[in-house]
Amino acid sequence: MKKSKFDILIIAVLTAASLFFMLDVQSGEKRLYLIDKNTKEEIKLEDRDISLDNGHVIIQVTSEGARFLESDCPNRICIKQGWVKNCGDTAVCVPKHLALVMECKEQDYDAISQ
Amino acid sequence: MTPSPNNHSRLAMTGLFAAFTVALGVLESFIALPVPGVRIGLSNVGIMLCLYLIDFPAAMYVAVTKSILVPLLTGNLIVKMSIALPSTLAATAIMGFAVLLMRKFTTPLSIGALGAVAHICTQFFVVKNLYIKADAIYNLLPYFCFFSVLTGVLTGYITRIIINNIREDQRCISCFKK
Repeated sequence: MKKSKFDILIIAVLTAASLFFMLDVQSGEKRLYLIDKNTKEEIKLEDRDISLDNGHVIIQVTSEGARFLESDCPNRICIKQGWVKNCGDTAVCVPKHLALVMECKEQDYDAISQ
Repeated sequence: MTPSPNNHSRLAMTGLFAAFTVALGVLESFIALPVPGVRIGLSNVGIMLCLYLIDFPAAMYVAVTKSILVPLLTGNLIVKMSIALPSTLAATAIMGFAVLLMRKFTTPLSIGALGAVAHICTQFFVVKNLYIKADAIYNLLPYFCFFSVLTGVLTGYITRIIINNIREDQRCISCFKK
C-alpha cells in the first residue's frame, strides 16, 4: 500500500475542521454553570466548595473559576481536566452526569443610556 | 451470507481478530496518556484489519464483541457499554463505507482517522442524549476531535504495517484470498 494524496486530503480536512472549531473563542461576560443531568444552574464565582452526590463529588469554586476537586468516579477525568476559567472551558464527569461550563455572552447592546 | 469454500477459514480468522481486538482493548486501559480523557484506540487496529482482510460483516461481529467484552473486563459496565457500543458500531460502519468506496485511493491511515472522528462524535452524541443533557459539552468536541485524528492516523499506520507484513508472508496468503 502506497501513500496517497487522498489520504493527506482527508486527514487535512479533519484536522482543519477540528482546529477551526477549537479556535472559535467566545468572549464577553463570563458565567459559570453547573449541569446536573437535566438541570443547569448558574454558580456565583466566590470562594467556596460545593459538595454533591452525598459528598462523593466536591467542586471547588473561586472568584476566577471552578474545578472538580474530588470525585470517586473511575478514571477521574473530570479532575484531570483542571480549572474551568476561560470562555468555553468545560469539565465533564460522565459517570456522575455532571459538567462545569464557563459560558460567555456578548451583551446585546454596546451601551445603555439612561 | 453466502457460504463459500473458504467459510471455515473466514470464521476462524474472525474469531482470531475478535480475540486480538478484545486483548488490545483491555491492554489499552492500562496505557495512560498525558492528555486527560484521550485513549489511543488500539482495538481499532483489529477492526480495521478485519475490514481490509476479511469483510464488512466480520468487522461488525468483531466490533460488537469488542464493545461488549471490553467494558465487561475493565469495569464500569453500564456507562461504558452504553457509550462504546453505538460509537464502535458507527465508527465501523463509517470505516466500512469508506473502505468500500475509496479503497483504491486511500490507505488505512485516513480510514483510521475517519473512524476515530466518527467514534468520538458518536460518543459525544450519546453522552449528550443519555447523561449530560446540555449542548455545552460540545465545547469539548473539537479538542477531542483533534486528538482523535492523531490517534486514528497512528492506529491506521499500525494497521498498514500489519497488512503489508501479512500480504508478504507466504503462509498467510491462503487465509486471505483478497
